Amino acid sequence: MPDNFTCPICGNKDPKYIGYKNGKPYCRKCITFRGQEASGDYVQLDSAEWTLKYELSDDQKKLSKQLLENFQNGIDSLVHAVCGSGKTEICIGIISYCIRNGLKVGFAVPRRDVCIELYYRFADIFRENDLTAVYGGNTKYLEGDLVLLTTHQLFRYDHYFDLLIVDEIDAFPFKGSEILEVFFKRSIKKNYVLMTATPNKETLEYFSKPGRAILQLFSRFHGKPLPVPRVIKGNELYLNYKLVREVSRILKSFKQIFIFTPTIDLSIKVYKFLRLFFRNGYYINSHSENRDEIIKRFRVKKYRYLVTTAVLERGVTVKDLQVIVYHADHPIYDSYSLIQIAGRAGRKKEAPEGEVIFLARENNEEMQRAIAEINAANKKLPNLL
Amino acid sequence: MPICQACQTEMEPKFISFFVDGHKAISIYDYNPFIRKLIYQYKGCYDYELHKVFLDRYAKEIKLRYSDYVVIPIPSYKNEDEERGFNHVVETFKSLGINMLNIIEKTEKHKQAVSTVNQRKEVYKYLELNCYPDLNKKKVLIVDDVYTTGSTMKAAIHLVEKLNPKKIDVLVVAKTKAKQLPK
Repeated sequence: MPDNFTCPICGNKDPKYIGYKNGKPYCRKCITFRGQEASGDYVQLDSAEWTLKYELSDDQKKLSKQLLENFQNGIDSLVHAVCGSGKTEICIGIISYCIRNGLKVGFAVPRRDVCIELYYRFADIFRENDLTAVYGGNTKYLEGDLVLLTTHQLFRYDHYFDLLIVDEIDAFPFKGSEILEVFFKRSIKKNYVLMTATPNKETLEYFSKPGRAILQLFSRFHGKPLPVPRVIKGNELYLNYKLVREVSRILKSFKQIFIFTPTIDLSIKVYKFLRLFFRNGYYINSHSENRDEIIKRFRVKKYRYLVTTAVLERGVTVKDLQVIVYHADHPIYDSYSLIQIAGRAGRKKEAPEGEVIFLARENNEEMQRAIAEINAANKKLPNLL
Repeated sequence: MPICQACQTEMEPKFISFFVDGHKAISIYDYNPFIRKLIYQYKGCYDYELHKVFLDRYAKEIKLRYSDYVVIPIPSYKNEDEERGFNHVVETFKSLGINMLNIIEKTEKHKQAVSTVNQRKEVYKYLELNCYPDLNKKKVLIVDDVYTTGSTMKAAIHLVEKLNPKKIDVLVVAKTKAKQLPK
C-alpha cells in the first residue's frame, strides 16, 4: 500500500485518515470541506457608510481606532473583550475602511444562528452595501462587500481575505479542530483579528509576541459591571426544589430565563419537570429541529423560560434575561463556558443587571475560577458608581 | 468492520417497518442528524470508505433473511456515478453478497433530494428498465439509501412488477419524516 500520500489541500499525512477509492488514495480528514469556492471576481462598492442608533462608549471608540491602526501597520490583533462589550460594534470602523479601500473583509463565527443574527445586525449598520451570509445550506452566493460566514465555510476561500475577523475563537467547532485551523490560515491573504471573551493561555502567549497585539475591553458597553454568579449548593432534591423556587420568583417579576443543562438528555428532563409547574416555556438543544422558531417565540415572550444546552451559550442577546445553570458542577462546564453562559445576562442598556445562579452539588474549581475572573474584570472598571 | 460504541449509539438502528403500495418495507435507521451527516459524507462528499458502515453490523442477519431474493438497487444518473467514482447504493448493499441485478436505469439528472413533493412525483419519467429478465417465481428486494415520499420507490416497483416477480420487498438505509422536506 503506497504510504507517501500527502493531501494537497490540508497537508494531512496520517494514514489513519487516508482512504482508498478504486485503488487511489484520498484524504478523509478534509473530505467534508469540499465545494464551490469564491472566485474573487466580485466588485465591491467603494463606500461604506454606517448608521448606528446609539453612540459607542469611549472605551469602544478607543479600541476601534486601535484595531484600525494595527491593521494599517500589518499587525494581527487579539481582542479580549467581555461578553456584551459590543465586540461587533468595535469592528465597524475597520470594516468600513476595508470596503472603502477595495479590500476583501470577512467576519466568521462558529455557529449558523449567530451568523444569521450578525448578518441582520450588520445589514442594519451598512445600509448601502451588499452583505452576504454564507453558512450550511446557504452557499449560493459567496461574495459581497462584507461576507458573514460560519468558520466551517472558510474552506471556500483560498487566500482571499485581506482582513478576516473571527469571533468566539474558543468555541466549538473551532476550538481543537486542526482542519478548521488549516482552512482558517489558507483563507487569509493579509491580516486577521481574533475576538473572544475567554482566551486560553496559548493564545495570550502567542499574541504577546512582537508583531501582534492584544486589545482589551473589560467594560460592558453600558459601563455597568458583569453580573456575578450566585452559587446555590445542595443535593439533588434540594437543587430541584430551589430551581422551582427561583424560576417562580423570577417569572413573577416578568423576567425571562435561560436554564442551562449540561446534557441534551437533561434539557428534556428538566423541561418536563418544570412544565409541571410553569406552562409557558420550552426546551432547545442541538437536536431541536425548529431552533429558529423556538428562539423567535422566546423573543416575543410567548415562552418565558427556555431549558437549553450549550447551543445558546453564545451570541444571543435578549433583554432582561436571567440565567440559571443547572448542575453547574458538571464536568462539561469549564470556567470558559461558565463565563460565556453568565454573559447572557444583563446585556441591554435598559436592563444591565441580570441574575446568574449556579445550582450545583459542590462549588468546584471551574465555578470558583469563573466567578474570580468575572470579579477581576469588574474591578478593572473605573468606579462610576 | 468495527464501529465504536459512541457512533453505534448515535446511528440508532430501528428497523422501521412500513408499507409501500402494499409491499413490505424496512428502513434500518431514522434519518436522524448523525445518519444524515454520514450519508452526506458518503454520497455527497464521495467518501467511499463509508460504504460498509450502514449495513455491516447486520449484514449476516440481513443476508440470511433475504438469501433467496434478487436485489435490485435504485440507480443514480450515470454521470453522477462517474463523478463520484462509485454508485453508493450498489456499494452499500453489495456487501450482503446476495445476487444483485442492476436493471433499472436513470435517464436524466433529476435530483430527488432538492425537489419539492410535486417535483418528486415526476421521478417515474426518468426511470426505466434496461434489461427484461424473467423474474417469474423469484422474490425481489428493491433497495435504496433514503426513503422520503416513496415516489422513487413506487416508480421502481411499478417497473419491476412488469417482470412478474413472486413478490417485492423494500429495504432502505434511512427513512425521513415528511417535515424534513425542503419547501
